[in-house]
Amino acid sequence: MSATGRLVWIHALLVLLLLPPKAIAADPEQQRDLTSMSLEELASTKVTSVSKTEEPRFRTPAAVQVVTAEDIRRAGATSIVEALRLAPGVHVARINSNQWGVGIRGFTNRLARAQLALMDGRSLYNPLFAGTYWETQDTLLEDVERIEIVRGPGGTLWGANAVNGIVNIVTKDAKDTQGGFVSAGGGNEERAFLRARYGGAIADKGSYRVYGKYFRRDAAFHATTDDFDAWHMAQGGFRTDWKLRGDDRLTVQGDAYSGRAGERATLSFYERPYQRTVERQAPLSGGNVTARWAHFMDGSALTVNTYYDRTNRAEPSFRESRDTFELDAQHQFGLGERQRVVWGLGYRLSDGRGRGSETLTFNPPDRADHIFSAFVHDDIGLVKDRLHLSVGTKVERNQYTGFELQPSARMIWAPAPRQAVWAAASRAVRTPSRVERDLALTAALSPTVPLFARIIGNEDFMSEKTWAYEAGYRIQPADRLSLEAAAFHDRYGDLTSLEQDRPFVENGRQILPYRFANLLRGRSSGVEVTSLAHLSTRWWISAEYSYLSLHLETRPGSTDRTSVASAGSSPRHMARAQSSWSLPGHVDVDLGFRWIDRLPSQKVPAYSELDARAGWFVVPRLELAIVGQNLLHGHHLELGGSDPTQIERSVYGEARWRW
Amino acid sequence: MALVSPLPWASLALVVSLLRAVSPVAGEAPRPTEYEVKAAFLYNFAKFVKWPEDGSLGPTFVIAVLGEDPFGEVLDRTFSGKTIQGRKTEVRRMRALTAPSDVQIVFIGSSERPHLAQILKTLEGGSALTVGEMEGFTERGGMIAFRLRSDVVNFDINLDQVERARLKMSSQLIRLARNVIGKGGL
Repeated sequence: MSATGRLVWIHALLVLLLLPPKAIAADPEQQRDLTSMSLEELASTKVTSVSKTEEPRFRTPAAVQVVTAEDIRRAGATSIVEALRLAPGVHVARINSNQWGVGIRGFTNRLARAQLALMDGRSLYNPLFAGTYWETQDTLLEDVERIEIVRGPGGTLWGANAVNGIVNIVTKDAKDTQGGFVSAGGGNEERAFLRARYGGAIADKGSYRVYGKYFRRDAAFHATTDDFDAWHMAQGGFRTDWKLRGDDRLTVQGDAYSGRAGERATLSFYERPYQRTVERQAPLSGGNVTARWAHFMDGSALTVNTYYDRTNRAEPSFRESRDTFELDAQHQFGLGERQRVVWGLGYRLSDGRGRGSETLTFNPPDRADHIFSAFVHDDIGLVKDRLHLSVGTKVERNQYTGFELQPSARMIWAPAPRQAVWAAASRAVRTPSRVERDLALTAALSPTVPLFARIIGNEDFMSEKTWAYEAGYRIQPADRLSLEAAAFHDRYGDLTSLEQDRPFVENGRQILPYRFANLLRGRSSGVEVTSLAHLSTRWWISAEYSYLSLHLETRPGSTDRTSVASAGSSPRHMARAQSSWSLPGHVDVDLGFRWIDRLPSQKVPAYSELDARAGWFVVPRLELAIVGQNLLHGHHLELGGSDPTQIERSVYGEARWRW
Repeated sequence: MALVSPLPWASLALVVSLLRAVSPVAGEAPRPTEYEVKAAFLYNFAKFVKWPEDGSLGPTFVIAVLGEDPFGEVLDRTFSGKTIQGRKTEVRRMRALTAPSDVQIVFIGSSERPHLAQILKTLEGGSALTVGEMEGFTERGGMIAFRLRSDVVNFDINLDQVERARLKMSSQLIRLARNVIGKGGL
């Protein structure tokens, strides 16, 4: 461990150990006071929301972090991807103003291929280049009920590509977002934004909300190039929740967005000049509609979820329109006294129509993917309320690799009411995307000499396979203190490599071909430690630390000499500490500090940054806030050291009004 | 993973002890947790509801938690040493309702949502006060449903079900409810 790494580790522990004894000790006086309170007093007592978010999570045999709308508000985050920084073990690295790389337990990438993201049951994973375009994943952040961030595999329930982690965004029921909300503000980076929502009831049958938002963001810092990456986006949407006959529930929701994001790309041509750098305002737009029906029967529940999603991207180097349709059904029931079975069936159609250039082609240009899946999951209470075993598997069929099996076994043991130990073993796969199968990408190596490298898809490209072993421990030693640790060891097989083929000449051009193959393997280990303490009614702090050791190697016969370095795109150490105060006079003050270790393969040095927010409720309905992000430096690098784009200090003000 | 060398640890311990001594927050009353407040409400429900003295009350007053228990030891602490209608209280945790007639308050955990209809049917005819926090609890025939809104715990009451169980609920309690289903309702 480096000297700085050690320092941060100590600081994280320090925050934990600084708890005054009074705050940690369970206070029996407090108990007696509560029962002697009058009903009216009790009905106006504010509670800490710790137990609300912690409780269901406490008994989950997986490394899960939950980020709520309140966490997002107090952190001053303005996008979903920035809110992911609030979870331990998640590496969020902003590439420029409108692009982010995300890595969970390693493999940080703009399009992280082995992480799945969903919003209200709708997949945000784009199968063309395999990954999530975070810049277009948005909603009114005030309407987010929670973002569940699962570290480690979840293929058994979620399906393929949930290898390293899952980001599951759940928005609030429309009945919980009644009334109006308007927020407006701006600053040096967040140039201007306006968000509004209105929710109401539909007779006795249900409720609705509609929202709209717009933002304009400034470009990042560029030492030598133009400010190409400023962007703006407008989005609107609705959600309705209906109570049907019996206890049935129906949710229908939808969103539509449109915007332009400044992008920069080096394009290659077969004629002189062979290389040209272009900057373009890329139009990004899309929309979706989701319907979800939940039917409760005696002892069982059936949920059917279906959605249609359209995304349009026109980047400088290629454009794509994609339609996705999915239909899922899930049924859960109790089996005897102690077992709970969930099983489901699903079908997804993802149809992409792309257009590249002479040097970027997909063959065939259009392709529709059909994915069929089935899963079964059984939760068995071995010892009443103490020991639970859950086993399950997903079987998925895709047209690239056929059937994929993703089993897992998880166990949780609660030796005492506020302690839990869990362990899990799972297999997960990352299925091929069109990139590895159908791509032909030719890149000029010089603007003046006709020398090209060509990356070619491989029809025999297989799924990447992972076996993951995890364990974790949670304890709530006092009502206002919770601690959690998770450790993992993952073994990766058949990871993507780029193998050199024999060079050849094509129409007078020298071509150096590379082909996708599965000749890389690896292993990773790590730990994540988190703590949360409510020091008093008005002050809580949290501290997190995560460690990752990722090692990749080529298999015999591989000619790939560069891919192993991609392990160095994720930090070995990360630490974060947050302190939140609710001061007298209705003022909230939040400080969030983070330290991220260096990224050797990205030429990114280690950095520390501080975010701060002060919010003042002038009246209960009006909050004024000032937010500072990345306050420690004028600008700093988060990913991609060869392109000198740096993330700048940002300050913005905001007014929020609700009625 | 190698942690830290002993030296920083020693200095760390020193710093911690120093900072604790001057910590400014000692003496401030911490906010109670959600389940401390809910447990206190359960105690108040017991005080503000009268159970019929026709054999539905046994030698002890039993509060049962059915399914996954969100309270932990908080519930035991809340009721320890308390008496209701002249009887000692007892907290029980159950996976299934074996002898429903012995129980005065049943807290139905959210894990039992799929079995709710079955559970309520088992309790029919008895005089158990059913309390839950799952969505749609009172609409589906439960008596009191906890709600958490802006960090404050309140509740809905299904008065029809309360009266069907021959329970007498104090108007003080009914007045405090956020929603009342049944003839006392709005």
